Amino acid sequence: MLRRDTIFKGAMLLPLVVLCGYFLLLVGSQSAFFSMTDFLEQIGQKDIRSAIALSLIAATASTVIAVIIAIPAAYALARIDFPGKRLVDTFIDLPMVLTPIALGTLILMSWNTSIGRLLSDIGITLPFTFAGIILAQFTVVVAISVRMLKATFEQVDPRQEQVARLLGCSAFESFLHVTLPLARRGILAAIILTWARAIGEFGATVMVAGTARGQTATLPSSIYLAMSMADLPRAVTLVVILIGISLLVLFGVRMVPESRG
Amino acid sequence: MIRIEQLTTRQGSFTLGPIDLDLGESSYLTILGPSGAGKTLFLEACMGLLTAHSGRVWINGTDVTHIPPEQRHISYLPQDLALFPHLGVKENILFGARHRKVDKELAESRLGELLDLLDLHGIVNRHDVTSLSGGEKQRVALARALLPGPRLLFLDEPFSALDATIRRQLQVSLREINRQLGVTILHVTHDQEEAFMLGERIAVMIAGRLRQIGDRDNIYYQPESLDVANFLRNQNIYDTTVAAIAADGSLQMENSITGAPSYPGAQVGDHVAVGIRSEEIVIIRSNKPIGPELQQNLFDGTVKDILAFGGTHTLIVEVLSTGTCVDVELPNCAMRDLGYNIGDELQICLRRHSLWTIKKEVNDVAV
Amino acid sequence: MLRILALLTILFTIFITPALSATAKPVVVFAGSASQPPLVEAAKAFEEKFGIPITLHQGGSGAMLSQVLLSGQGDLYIPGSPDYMDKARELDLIDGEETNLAYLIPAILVPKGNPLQIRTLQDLSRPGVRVGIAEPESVCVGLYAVEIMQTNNLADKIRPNLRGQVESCAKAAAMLPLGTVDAVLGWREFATWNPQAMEAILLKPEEIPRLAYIPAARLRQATNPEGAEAFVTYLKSEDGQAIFRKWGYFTAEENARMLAPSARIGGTYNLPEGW
Repeated sequence: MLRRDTIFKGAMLLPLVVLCGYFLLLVGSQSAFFSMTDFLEQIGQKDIRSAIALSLIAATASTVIAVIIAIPAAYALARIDFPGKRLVDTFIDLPMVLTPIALGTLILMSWNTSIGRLLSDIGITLPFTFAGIILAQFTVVVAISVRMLKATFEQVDPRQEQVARLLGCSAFESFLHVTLPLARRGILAAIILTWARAIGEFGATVMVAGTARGQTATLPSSIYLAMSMADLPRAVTLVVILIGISLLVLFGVRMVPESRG
Repeated sequence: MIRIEQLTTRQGSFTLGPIDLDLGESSYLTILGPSGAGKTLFLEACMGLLTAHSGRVWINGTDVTHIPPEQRHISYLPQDLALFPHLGVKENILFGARHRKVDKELAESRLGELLDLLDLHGIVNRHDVTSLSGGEKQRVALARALLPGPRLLFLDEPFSALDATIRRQLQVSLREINRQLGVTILHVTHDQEEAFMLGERIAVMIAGRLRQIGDRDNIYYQPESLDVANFLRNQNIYDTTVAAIAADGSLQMENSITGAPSYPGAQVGDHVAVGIRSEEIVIIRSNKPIGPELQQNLFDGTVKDILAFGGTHTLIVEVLSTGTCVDVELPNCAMRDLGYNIGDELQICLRRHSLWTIKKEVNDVAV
Repeated sequence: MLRILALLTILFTIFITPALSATAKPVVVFAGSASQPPLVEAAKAFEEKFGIPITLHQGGSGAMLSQVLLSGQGDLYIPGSPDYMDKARELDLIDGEETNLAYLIPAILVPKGNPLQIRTLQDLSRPGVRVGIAEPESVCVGLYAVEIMQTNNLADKIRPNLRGQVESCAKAAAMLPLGTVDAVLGWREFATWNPQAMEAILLKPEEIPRLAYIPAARLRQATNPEGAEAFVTYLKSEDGQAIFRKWGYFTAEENARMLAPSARIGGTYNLPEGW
């Protein structure tokens, strides 16, 4: 019996070990192209510094916007019955199956419609601006947020909200003081995944915001630009930076203590 | 205190009501019914968690039908308790005070009272409510429901997950709360024992309707419909027809039972069900004189089987003249004295005051 | 949440504000990757000299054209080859004449040191040599590669050696340092970008049927046509041309001609059936 358990555990652990080994191999494969002198020299460059800042700010901003919109939307999908709900539920998934490049194309096209032109006329132009990056990333990641948060809210027992109502909370108060705290872990997980997806976003970002160095070139776009010049040292530097920043942020967020109340 | 008029609501294909109910100040009503009868749905509709399709709910003379749940001032203890896992014991109990804007000092003094009443002093400073035992959780949830000082407390199967000893303690606590604090309690349960023990009045709910409301004796001894009789485990129910109406108004049946109670508009030839609880049947012992109330409905029979339960035995007696079977329940002590065995012959009496009669509707299923 | 917002504001102030505070209206340029290194440098020099910022978007020439078309934005289009300029003209996106900035010469690219000793076009048909080209239907350098193989009657022999047809001319250049292929039929200039990683094996002059060049032209939808004009003028000036030469491009026709005396310059070539 015990022996079988060990075999079972081993069978489950083995793929995990193989996967980790594979990822380590991927991360380590750049060492052939990596040189510390290049890295230090390039990390001081204005282009690269601005790419880091652009990536961080845009990913965080698009995540914040996406989650702020996704929380009520996901709650509505999880709790409120309305006609056509299943249709809406499916429709919301559309950005997840559409490739980012298609989404980017659609965003660009949308600014070429009469509504887009009207917005441009009054001075709101998003394509090829910093706001365009946020729009592109938001479009790609918001569906992930909604999907994850919906699952989170579905796990919160409606009874707890009901009891809160009967203890004097309005619907909104019960959402604020009971639902959100209970969904805390799920919301955190959604934020992490959304952010991770946003900072790595490339297809839609490049389409909508272009690759202007120092203005709209994020880390992934810069990697693409470096590859376009066959400039591998630069590409490797950027990849290392992206890995470093992402791991730092992902670990940092997970370290947030599980405080109560 | 609370009055419900023609309340109906719907969930999926299930229809609840129409339901009428009137609960006085400090009363204790249990709603008894099988699972799936719509008991929880009824509570939810009263509390405003579910929209009423029609009908009205009045609390203290105010029509609350269209008032949101938080303004109805009903406290609620659901079956799964729904303690807030992100809050500690004290925060859970004080949750209602915080949101009902109860004065801080008042809340503290009430907290003290409830800690005494529910014996919570030992755990009030615990931070993780998920680590409490079942009974502790129950008491915390009860304290949380009582802290805002409700006049009306709704309980939904509150003790179903507890073992017998703790359940008994909490049942006693509930009676105290009802009496000492004067809280009106509406308590939903599928457990007959609990319903009869706690409820001053009992309402039987079957398939979304309140089929009978009355005190213990009424519900226990005088079921008004076959559904209720079956649900309350009446073993001895016999289909027959009214053969004659006696001078005293009692009914004489085709199957030779006499002295059964009448019902409004009773006529000879009515199809009826006559029943008697198994513990109400008297075994006639030849060496003892019998009083006048035992002169009627005497039947000779043989013991076909003997079923032993915890504190009682049930004899299954086959009546010689008709071949019908009658369940006779005896306390263990009586059983020991009488010492019956399978095949023994005996005489039983279906005491007329213990009989009930229900006129059968066309759609009632024969038992 | 507040902390995040505060952090955002600080980062924004440090990194973004300088970019936004540039006073003059920027010139928005959409450029193919074939001219990336010199254009980046020239844009910087131009900004310093004239105070007009250049917003330089780069990628595949076709992708850039799509973005120009879809967004209705951009002042200047600099594709990697004349074919895309023709396409842009067909789409009525171009205003005025194009300016020829530099020439692109087809060549065989091999890793530094030429480990497989590839000397001629013929060598690409040797068994075991992995050859990379760009996708001929959408990428100009791919089309040039096919044209060279066809006109020299080596298409059938080299074709079995082809590994991967990549979607941009820039990626074709990156295949060598990554070790994906042993040789690339691409632009000689790829090697001059990265002399430490690869070298160019020149074709025999008669093997080159056609030369490409990097054209620049103003877009009809330009909101800053003066700036665009000024930038093109700068790129064509001695200073600008020097930057192209520094990155190894030929800027004068007679110099390019020396490597391919009989080649056409620009023009079209129809992809044969079966590619």
